[in-house]
Amino acid sequence: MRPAELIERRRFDFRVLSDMRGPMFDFGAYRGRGDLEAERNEIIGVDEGGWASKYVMRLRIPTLVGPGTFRDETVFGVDLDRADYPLAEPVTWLISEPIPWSPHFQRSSPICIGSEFWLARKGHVTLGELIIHVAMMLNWDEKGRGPGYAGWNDEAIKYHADHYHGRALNPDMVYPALPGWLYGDTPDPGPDFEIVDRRSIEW
Amino acid sequence: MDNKTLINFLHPTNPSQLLSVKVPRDSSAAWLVQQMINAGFIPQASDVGQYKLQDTRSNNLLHDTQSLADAGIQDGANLRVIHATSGAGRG
Repeated sequence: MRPAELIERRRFDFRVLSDMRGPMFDFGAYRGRGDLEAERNEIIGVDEGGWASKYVMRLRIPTLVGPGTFRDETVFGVDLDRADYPLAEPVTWLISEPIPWSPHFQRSSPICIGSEFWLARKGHVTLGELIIHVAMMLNWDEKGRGPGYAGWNDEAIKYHADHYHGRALNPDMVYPALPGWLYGDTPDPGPDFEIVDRRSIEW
Repeated sequence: MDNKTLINFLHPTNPSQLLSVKVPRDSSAAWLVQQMINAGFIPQASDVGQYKLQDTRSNNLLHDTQSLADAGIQDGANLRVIHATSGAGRG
């Protein structure tokens, strides 16, 4: 992908995520790791979205962090700065503690999103779909990866099987949704509501 | 001529939270509230009409269907987002 095409792709991802913000999901976008870690120079507008390569994603999906113990919010990072993005999946890492008690999450490791989710789609998948995918994994809302699958946490799998019998933690969960304009359901809203800044101020 | 105007929204429960946007001058108050919900600045209400916008300069409340232009909102204005259940307050 040429540099200009990559910028457009990143801007597209940024637009998708921006239109998914809501009670269940929010994010911060940055140009570099240093800005992300210091939470400075956050990218706000779509115009700059093409330079967003580092994200802090915040999903407010209650998930297990131990036997019978839940945490309401999981925060993780996403890095688009890798060769062959979007053909190659973005790098992910966990930020919040405690980490989800799940076969797909492990401290100091990328989130195990599954090769069938990203790589098999050969770039025809957005960061918005990644957010929904992770949200469903946090809610244990998945078909499973077959008998014998242990992932990173066999104990959690057994606990879930015993207590939830293969069902989602919250079967009625309403996940963040991809924007309707992505499917052509609604007109592309365009930049009518153009966010130029979002900050906390001291009066 | 740019038909957009700069507006600063003050969060209903945390006034130190500020959202600055450029929007068309014919934007209605109800539409602006819905965009703030979509942007995750304010939570979804059971009815969008539960949120009201108040010009901090004049203290005038905008009607849901009233546009920024019709309400005389000027470029760079500060609009306080008020949740109906918390009351608009006086002064």
